[in-house]
Amino acid sequence: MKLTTGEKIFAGVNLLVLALAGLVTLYPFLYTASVSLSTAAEANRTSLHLYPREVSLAAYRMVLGNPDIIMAYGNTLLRTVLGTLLTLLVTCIAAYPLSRKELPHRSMIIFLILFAMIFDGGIVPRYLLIRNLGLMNSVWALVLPTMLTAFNIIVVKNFFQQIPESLGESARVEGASEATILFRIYIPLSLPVLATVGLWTAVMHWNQWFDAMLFISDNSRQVLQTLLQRVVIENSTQMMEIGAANASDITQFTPETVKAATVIVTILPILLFYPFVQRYFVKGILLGGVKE
Amino acid sequence: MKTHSTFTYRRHRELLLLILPVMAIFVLFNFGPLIGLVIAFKDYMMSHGILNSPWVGLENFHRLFASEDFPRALRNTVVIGLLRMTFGFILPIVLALMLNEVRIHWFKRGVQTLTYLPYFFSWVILGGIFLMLLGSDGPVNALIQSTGHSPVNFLSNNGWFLVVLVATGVWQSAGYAAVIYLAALAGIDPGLYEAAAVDGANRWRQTLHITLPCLIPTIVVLLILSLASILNAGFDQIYNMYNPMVYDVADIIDTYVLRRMQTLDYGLATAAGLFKSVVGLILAVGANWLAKRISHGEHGIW
Amino acid sequence: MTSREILFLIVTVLLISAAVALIPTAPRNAAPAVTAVKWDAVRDDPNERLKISWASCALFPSGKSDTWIQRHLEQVFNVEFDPIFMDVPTLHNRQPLMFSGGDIPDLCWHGEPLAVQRCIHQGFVLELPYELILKHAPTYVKNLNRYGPQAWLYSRYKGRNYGIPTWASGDVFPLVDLWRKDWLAKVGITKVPDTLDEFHTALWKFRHEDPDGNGVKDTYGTCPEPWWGMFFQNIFSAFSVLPQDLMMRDGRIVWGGIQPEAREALALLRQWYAEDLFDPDFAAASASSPTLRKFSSGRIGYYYGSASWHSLDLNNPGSIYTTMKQVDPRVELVPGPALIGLDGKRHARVWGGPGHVVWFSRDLAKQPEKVIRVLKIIEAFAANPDLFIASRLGKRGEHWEWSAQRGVHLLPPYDQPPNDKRNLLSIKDLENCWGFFSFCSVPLSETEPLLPKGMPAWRKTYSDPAWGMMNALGKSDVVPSAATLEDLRAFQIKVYTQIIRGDKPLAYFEEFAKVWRERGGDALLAEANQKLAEREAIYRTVGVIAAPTPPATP
Repeated sequence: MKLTTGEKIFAGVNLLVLALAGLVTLYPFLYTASVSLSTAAEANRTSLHLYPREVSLAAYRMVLGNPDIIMAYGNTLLRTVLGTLLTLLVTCIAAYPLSRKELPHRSMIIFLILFAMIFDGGIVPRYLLIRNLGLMNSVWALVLPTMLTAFNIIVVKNFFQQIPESLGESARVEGASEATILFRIYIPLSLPVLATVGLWTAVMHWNQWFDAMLFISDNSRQVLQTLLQRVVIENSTQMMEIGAANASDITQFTPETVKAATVIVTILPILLFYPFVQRYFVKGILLGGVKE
Repeated sequence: MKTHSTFTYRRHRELLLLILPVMAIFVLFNFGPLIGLVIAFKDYMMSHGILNSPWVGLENFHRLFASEDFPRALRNTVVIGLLRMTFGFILPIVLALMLNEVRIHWFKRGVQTLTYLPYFFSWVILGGIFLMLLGSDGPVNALIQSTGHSPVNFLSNNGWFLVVLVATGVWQSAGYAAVIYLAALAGIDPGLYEAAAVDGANRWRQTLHITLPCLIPTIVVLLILSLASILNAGFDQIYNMYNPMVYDVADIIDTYVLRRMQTLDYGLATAAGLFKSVVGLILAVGANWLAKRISHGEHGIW
Repeated sequence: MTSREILFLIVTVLLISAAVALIPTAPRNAAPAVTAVKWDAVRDDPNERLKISWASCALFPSGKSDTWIQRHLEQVFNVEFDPIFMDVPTLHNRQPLMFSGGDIPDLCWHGEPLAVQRCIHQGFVLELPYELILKHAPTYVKNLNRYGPQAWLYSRYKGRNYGIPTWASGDVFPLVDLWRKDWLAKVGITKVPDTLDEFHTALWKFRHEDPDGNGVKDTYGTCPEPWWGMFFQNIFSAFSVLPQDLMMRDGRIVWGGIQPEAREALALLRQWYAEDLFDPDFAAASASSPTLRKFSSGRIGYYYGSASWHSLDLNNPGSIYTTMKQVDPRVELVPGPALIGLDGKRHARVWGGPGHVVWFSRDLAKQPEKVIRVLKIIEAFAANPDLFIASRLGKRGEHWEWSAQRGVHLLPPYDQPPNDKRNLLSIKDLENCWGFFSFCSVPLSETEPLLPKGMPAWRKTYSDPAWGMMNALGKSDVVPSAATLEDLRAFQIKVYTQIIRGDKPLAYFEEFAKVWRERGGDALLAEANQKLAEREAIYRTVGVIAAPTPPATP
C-alpha cells in the first residue's frame, strides 16, 4: 500500500512521540537501577544517574544477605501464584453463566456483583471475618477475599460474550454439559483475556501491602511490600513522634543504594515473567481472532 | 417441543449450578463484611462489638460534614478523581491507537513493553522513586536549574503536587490500560479496513469510522467501571507521596478514613466510606442508564 | 427485575451473611465497666510458670521470638513470654483491629498518652491502683518519682490510673548539632558557631561561598526537620520558646507557639529564608526524613535533629559519621552545643524524664497474678543493674563486651544491623526506655560506668541537661481534648512555613494566634491548667515530695 506524504509524516511523528513515551517510562527505572549499582559516593552525586559511574555490588550484598527479605520473597511468590490461579479459575466459573443470556435472574446477579464492588464495609468487619474463619496469619487470608472482583468478572464475561454462540450450541447438541463447554471450548479460546486478567491479578498480589500488614503477624510469613515499607520507614519521623530524642535511629541510616537495590530485587521476578506472558498474549490474540 | 423445554431447563440448572457456589463465596467475602456498614450509624465501642454498640442515627454524618477535614477531603477526591479519569482515560486510547499504527514490529513491541512497565511497581516503591527524582536536589530540578530557573517545589506546592499526582498516576497506568484497547483493536476484522480502503478512505477516516466505533463497547464498559470507582482517587499513590503541606489538595476520602481508623474513630470512618460508596453507586447506575439510553439498549453492563 | 426483588434479595443476603460471619463475633464476655479486682486477695506464686503475651515497644519489628534475652528472663522470672513484635504503622493500623476481635495482649505499650486514653475509653484497659504499684515495685516508683514524675499523668484517665508510666534517663540530654568541619574551614570559620550571629554567618557562607569547592552553587546552610518537634527548634530555643509545647509562664500554662518570642523567632527565620539559606525541601515531609539524607550527601552543612555522641562514633559501623566517611573520606564532622540564646544562656528542647505507658489488658482481671508478676519484673530491673544490663545487651562475652577505650560495644555478628535489633540488643538505647523487656530506664549513675571513656565529659560540653526545656506537662496530649492537637499542630506548621517562606506577612501571626485559640487552643489550655492541680494530687498520692519544676524552664 503506497503511503501519501502526509501519511508518511504522520507515521514519523507517531514513532517519535511513542519513542519519547517509552523513554519517559524507562527513566525512573534506569535511575533506580543505576543508583542500586553505584558506590555510596556516586549515589550521592546530583546527576541524572543514567548509569553508575562507579559500580559497587555492596547494596545487593546487604539486601540479599537479609534473611527476612528472602523469606518474604517466598511468601509473596506463594501468594501470587496461588492467588492468580484461584482467581482465574473462579472468575471463569462465575463469568460463563453470566455471559449466557438465558441465565435466570441474570441482571439481578450482575447488579449484586456490582453492588458489592462499590460498597465496602470497612476494615473492621473484614478483619473480624478473617479472624472468625480462622484464616489469620495464613496465605488464605490474602488470597480468598480478593478472588472474586466485579471488574474481573465483567471483563471475562464480556469476552465470553464475543465468542460465537454456535460453538457452544453444537457442543450442546452433542450432549455436552455447560461445565464441559466452559472448560473445553470457552477457556481455551479466551487465553488473551485470561492472560491479561491473570497478569493484573498477579501484579496486584505482588504489590499488596495493606492486607498483609493487617492479617499477618508472624514475621516469617510476611510479604515483600510490607517489609519494604519497613525498610523505607526505618529512620522516619514517626519514631520521633513517639517521644524519644534519639529514636530516629541515626545509627541505622538506610543508604539510598540499599533502598534502590531492595526495589530492584522486588521487581525483578515480574520483569522476568512478563516477556513470557506477552508472548502468550500475542499468540492468544491471533488464536482468538479466528472466526468461523 | 417438549425436548426443547427440558433441554432449556437442564441448561438453566447447569448454569445455576456453576454460578451458585461461586456466588456463595462472593456473598461470604464481599457481602458479609457489608454488615459493618451499620457502624456508620453507631457509636462503635470495640468491647461491645458491632451489633451491641449504641445507635446514634445520622450523628456521624452530621459530624462529618460539620468538620473541616471531610468536606475538604470530599472536594479533593472529586477533583483528583476527575483529573485522573480525564487524562487516564483519553491517553491510553490515544496510545493504543498510535501503537496500532506502527508497522515496525519490534518497535511496537518494545514501546508497548516499556509503557506497560510502571504498572508493575507498587506505590511504596514509586513513591520513594519520585520523591527522590522530584526533590530539590533531584535530577529534575537539576535539569531545571541548568536552564537558569530556580528549583520548583514539586512536592510541597499545592498546584504542582496535583500535577505530579496526575502525571505520575497516568504514567503508571496508561500502558496497561492501553493493552485492553489494543486487545480490542486486534479483534477488529481486517476485512473492514480493506473494504474501506477500496472505497477510497484514507487512514484517518478509517480510524474515525471503523476503529473508534468498534472500540465503543470496550470504552463504555471501562468508562462505567471507572466512574463507579472515581472516588477512589488513588489512595496508594497519595498515601506514599503526600505530606501535611499538601493536605489541602491531596487529602482524599480514603486517607481521611485511614486517619480516623488510626484514632479509633470507626463511626466517622465508616460513615465517610458509606457516603463514598453511595455516590459511587449513583454514578455507576446513572452512567449505565445513560449508556443504555444512548445506544438503545445495546451497550451497558446490565 | 423489580425494585422489590432487589430489596428482598439484598436484605436476605445481608442477613444470611451476617449470620454466617459475624454474629459469633460480638464478644459476649465484654465487661464495659471497670471490673473491680480485689487486689489484696491476689497471690502470685513464684513457682507457677505464667504465660504472658507481651506487646512492648514498637521498635523491634524484626525481632526473633527465641532470643537469648527472652530465654534468660524466662528462666529468672519463671515466665513464658509470647512476644509480639510490631512497627509503628502496624501498631496504629493492626492493633486496634486485634483489640476489636478480642485479642488483647496481656501487656501493651503506647508512646502517646492520647493512644492510651483511646484504649481506656474503648474499655480494653485494666485499672491499676497506685497502691498496687507502690507495694510491688517500690524501687521502680522511687526512680520514676525522682526522674520522670510527669509521666504519672500519662496513664491517668478520668481520675483513675490505668497503667505503669515509664521514664528515660537519657532524654534529659539535649541533641547535638552537627557541623561539616571541612566546610567551615573552607569558608574561613575556625570556631564552631555559638551565637545566633555566628550561626547566621556560617549558614550564609555555606550557601553563597561554595564550601564544597566544586564551583557549583548547590549547597545550602541547613534543611530543618519537618516534624513539629524539630521544626527550626534550635532557633526557637535560642529565643527560649518551645513553639509546639505547653510552657509555664508565671505559674500558668501557655502555648509556646503563640508567644511573642515565637513571633520574634519567625521574623528572624523569615529574613534568613529571604537570604536563601534554607533548603526549600523542608516543607515536603514524607516517610523518610529528607534532612539526614541531605546532610550525608553533602547538600547541607549543618544538621540538627537527632544527633548524639553515638552519631559521631567512628567505631560504630552504622553511625552517620562512618557512613559519610565511606562516601567521602575528606568529610570531617564536629559537634556543636546548643546556640547561646538572647538571654546569654543556652537552651534546647528535650523530652525530659517522662517516657511512655505500659498497660494491661482488661482480661487480666481474671488472671491478676500476671499483673503482680510483671510488677515484680520491673522492680527487679530497677533494683538489679546486672539484670537490667542483661536485658538490654545480652550476655557479656557473647553479645557484648567492655573495654577501656571503647567502653561497651556489641560483638560481631551482633554489631551489624539488622542482627542487633533482631536479637533485641541496642547499645545506644542503653540510657532510654527502648528495651523490649525492660521498657524503662535505670538511673544514669548505673549505666555511666559502661559508657565509652570520655563520653560523660563530652556531654558536659556539648549536651548539658541544664540547657533543657521540656513541655510543662511532659506531653501535651494528656488533656482530654488531645484529639485536636494533630489538627492544631499541622495548622501551625503550615502557617509558620507560610510566614517563613514569605507567602504570608509577619503580621499574620496575630491572626494565626486568634484562629489557633478558636480552633480548640483555648480549650486545650484550660484543660492543661486543670491538669496542673490534678498532678499535684497525684504526686502526693505516689510520694513525689514536691511538684518538681521541669528542668531549666525560666
